[in-house]
Amino acid sequence: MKVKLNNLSMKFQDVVAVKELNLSIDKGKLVSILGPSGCGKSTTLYMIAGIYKPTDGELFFNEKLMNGLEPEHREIGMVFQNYALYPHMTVLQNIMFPLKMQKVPKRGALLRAKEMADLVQIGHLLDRKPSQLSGGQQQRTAIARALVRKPKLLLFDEPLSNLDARLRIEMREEIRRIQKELAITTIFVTHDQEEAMSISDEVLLMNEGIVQQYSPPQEMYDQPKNLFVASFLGSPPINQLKGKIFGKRIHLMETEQSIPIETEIANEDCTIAIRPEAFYIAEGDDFSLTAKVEFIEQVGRDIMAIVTIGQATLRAFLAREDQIQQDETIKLGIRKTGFHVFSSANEQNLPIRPAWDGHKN
Amino acid sequence: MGRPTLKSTFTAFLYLLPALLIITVFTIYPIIKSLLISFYNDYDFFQDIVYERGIDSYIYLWNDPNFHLALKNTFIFVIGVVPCSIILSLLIAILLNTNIKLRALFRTVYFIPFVTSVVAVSIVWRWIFHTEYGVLNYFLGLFGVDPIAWLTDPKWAMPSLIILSIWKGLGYNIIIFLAGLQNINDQYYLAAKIDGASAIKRFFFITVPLLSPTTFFVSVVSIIGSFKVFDEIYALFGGQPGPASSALTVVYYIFEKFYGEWNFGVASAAAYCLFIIIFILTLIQLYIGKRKVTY
Repeated sequence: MKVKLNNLSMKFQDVVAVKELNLSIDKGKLVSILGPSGCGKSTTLYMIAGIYKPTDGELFFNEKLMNGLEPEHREIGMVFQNYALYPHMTVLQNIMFPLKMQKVPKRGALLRAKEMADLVQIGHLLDRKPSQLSGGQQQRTAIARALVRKPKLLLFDEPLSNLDARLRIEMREEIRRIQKELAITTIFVTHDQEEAMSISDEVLLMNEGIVQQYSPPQEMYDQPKNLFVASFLGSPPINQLKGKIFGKRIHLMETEQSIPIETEIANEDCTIAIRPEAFYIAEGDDFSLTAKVEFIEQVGRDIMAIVTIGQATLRAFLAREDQIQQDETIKLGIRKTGFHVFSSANEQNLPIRPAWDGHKN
Repeated sequence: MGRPTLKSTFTAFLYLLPALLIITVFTIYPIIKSLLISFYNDYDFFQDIVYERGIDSYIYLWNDPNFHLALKNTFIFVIGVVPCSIILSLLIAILLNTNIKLRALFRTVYFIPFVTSVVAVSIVWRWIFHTEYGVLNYFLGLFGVDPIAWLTDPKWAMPSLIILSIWKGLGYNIIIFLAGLQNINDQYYLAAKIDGASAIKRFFFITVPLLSPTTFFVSVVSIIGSFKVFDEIYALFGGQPGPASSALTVVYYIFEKFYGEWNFGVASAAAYCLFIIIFILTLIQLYIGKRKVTY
């Protein structure tokens, strides 16, 4: 099913939770709504589910206006953060509940519920009560219950946040597998960027009720539209440096250093954002930044160097072979893919091309 | 907290002593003593001499038509009050649990009868039930119903008593149900909505089962409370067990035997009969509760 949001807004008293949201989701896609807490992502999901009634704008399922329709008539399935399994029913009764509400004949309902239980691999647990299940099993039951009615749209409200790290990875792969197998349009709310990046076809990044960017995950990482997007994605977070553009160079604040660029812009304050993994030790490059190594952390196959340029502290992933030392002054090259410049005035990405020939790109 | 030592046990015992003393003197001792008294056949109350022990009192109860009437009335009363009271208070609790205006005011209003003295309440109800001047007959008259002799007709005395008792017990049950309702996570209702359950189905498939521990507690407490009914009768019928003993209950029977006839053996035996009945019923409830209240 296609989902379309047209200038959808939600106000609670005088707080605007979601502001003029436009979104279009194609059939069979998995879209994550990502953002820090309080950004309006769950509100958006609840509006799509029909639990909240939007104060403004329109919501369409397949060109059909859904605004006034109660959740029970929307043909959706939903998995809640704490699963909301009915504690007085067994796993089987929980999965069959939506069918029972639809008055599906019992034999057919039973078969269908068992089929769903097998799909999420809990076929052996049907007689248990939710309190006798582990977190992952409860999660699977909740997914089976959401799927049993063959919904046209599947909604997840931070479904993995109550699981431990290992199970979280397992379950998100599981969700992706089931979603692909059934080719069901899915919306997945999360505050975990890694989760969103790894399972989504498209990511909708929100902040303070406003859409920041809507694009495939890799594109969002490589081509952030504004500073918020750049800084929200990536761990450790992207490095930020203050600078000023003039004479085809960005001059770094409080230093003598500058970065060569191609641009029409002149005399503008800007923020340079560089991914930690975009740095490398420059050898014979036509451009590099001079930095002082303050501290070195071993992080498995890489090392992370904490360096200073002027007053700014930056993190750089470097190779172990580079053999840098603490307190050493090093020359850092920058890969062009991890280099972004944003306007200081409105934090939008500025049209700037790097003008150097690094030997690594 | 370490292991209990002799000293710490003694200290704790000292703290417990005052309450323990009062409970022993006024509760535990009478319980045991009345069991013993129920087996006195011949007893001199003034000199505390027992001439003969036996089960005469129980045989007397077995043959006493008045006791049978009291038992019958008590069962009618319990069956009349408990289910009605539970259903009504559950419905009111659900209404009060929704977002209505003046919710706090309503909660207080419903709770007032419970904290008001039975005697005061009964006097008001004697007026409401009055055959000629009562407000109840006045309203019924508006619908063309002839005046009913609520308190003086043996046929209507028990229904009057039941109405009063339901009304009086509502407040307490409502408060307990409200607490129970607030313990049900909203997420279950959201999930049920998404699963396609209408409001009525949500009530029967979510609210009722998830409220069952509360309902169980309320029913146990109300059944025990209803079996012990006395003050309402005494006050409502002016010191009589209703016209022609139509509102004679077991506790009223015990009261009459004890204070009216000074027949302590029979009174104690009747008290123990009531105890056994309540005990068995509670066991049955616990058994049912264990099977039905499981999650």
